[in-house]
Amino acid sequence: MATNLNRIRKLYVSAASRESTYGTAIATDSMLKVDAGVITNREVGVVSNNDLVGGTEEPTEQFLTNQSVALPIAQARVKPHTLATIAGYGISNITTTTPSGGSTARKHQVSTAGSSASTLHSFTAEGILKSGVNQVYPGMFVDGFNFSVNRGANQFASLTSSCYGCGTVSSGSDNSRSEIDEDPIGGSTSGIAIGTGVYDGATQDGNADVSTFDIASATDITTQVTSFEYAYQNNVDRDFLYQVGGGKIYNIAEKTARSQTVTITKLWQDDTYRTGLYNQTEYSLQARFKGAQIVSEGIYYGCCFTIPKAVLQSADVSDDGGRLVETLTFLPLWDATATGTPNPFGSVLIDIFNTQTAYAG
Amino acid sequence: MAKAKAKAKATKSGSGESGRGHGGSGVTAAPLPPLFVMGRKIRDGEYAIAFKRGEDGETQTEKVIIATVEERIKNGQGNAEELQWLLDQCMDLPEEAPDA
Repeated sequence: MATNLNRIRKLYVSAASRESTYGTAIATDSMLKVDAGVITNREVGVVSNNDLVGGTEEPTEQFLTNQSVALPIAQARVKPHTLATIAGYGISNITTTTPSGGSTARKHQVSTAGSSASTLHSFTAEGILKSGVNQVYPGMFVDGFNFSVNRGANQFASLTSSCYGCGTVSSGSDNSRSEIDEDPIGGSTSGIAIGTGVYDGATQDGNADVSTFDIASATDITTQVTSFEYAYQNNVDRDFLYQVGGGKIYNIAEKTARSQTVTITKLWQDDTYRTGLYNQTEYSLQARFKGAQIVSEGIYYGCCFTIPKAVLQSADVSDDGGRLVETLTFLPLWDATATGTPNPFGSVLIDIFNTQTAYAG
Repeated sequence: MAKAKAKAKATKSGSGESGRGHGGSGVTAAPLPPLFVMGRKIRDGEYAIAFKRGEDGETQTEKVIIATVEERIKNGQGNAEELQWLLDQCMDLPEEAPDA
């Protein structure tokens, strides 16, 4: 009896191109090396007729009501390609530019400014369970994702996300998608700042300088940080995806109100941020993570989170192994300023640097 | 320094691979030269330059940190001609800072 391991051997995604018709599979283009234990959960709902008056003790019929796919994608030592794929589809707005002086390097900016107000972009995923058993899951969308970096011996960033698919599954045959070879994102070279001034309308193009921030009156808190976490949720109501007239599978995810939080745990210095909580001071935030240089172009793998405007939701002080730390939970606000990129600034900008030419195109 | 060099080298060969895994043509096209759109000074030594690539290109804004760009040119990192172009645009801008 063969044992099937509880892991997909390979997971391919259509990162560069999005589905033009929701639920219609397109070719995948790259492999994501994700955490084990992500075998897709194909959810099926059935009802029987034993609740009907006049029925027998055992039902005589059963009906299929619905089906869907849940695919959690998580990656320790997250690579820029994975972050761009998940954040790009999650926020459903990603713009790729060639930074000045770059040739193969690209800067991908994910932002809520200009993101679709109606629907989420979808991609096709393909999982290889074992040789010859390829399952293609079309109509995948990202409901939410969480990016985090912690102080410690292992400072690589990790990404978790919840993705859902429409529920149709077909067999595939791709075997040759390779992982994009790039430097993982980590906190060992990074810069994190909380500003009391505004975002200046342009983020760095080369990801080179972690100690220069794109926000005014920035306080560099990098060495005080014990954890940085960005969380994004589309808050999709999955029951609502079964449209009347839309069959028994998920239909396209219509936009609802998204929500985001930025949680920074740092060594407590003084009551500045507790005062900021009481006063609802408007802050700006930036966290830049720099990796290896892309070829020799002076542009570096990695990513940068910029929150043009945020207020504190909580600023709890607690003990962490004998140290006094404060956990600052920020609520990103919408910044309507329109004198830079993006226009308006919106609520979050995620710059990701690698050599891929397009995402969700 | 030797270590940093080795790392850069490893990355170089790695990124050559990445193009092939992309599903497209596998070739990263050389970008069109930039066309100046507008610019402004953020603070001393820092400018924001808006440009586009080709007449129909999308306008993108980039931050130019003079010291960083000069260092990139000095170290032979990136397209020197394009970086110098960027510096020239900054130098041509009026000196006043934007409204606070």
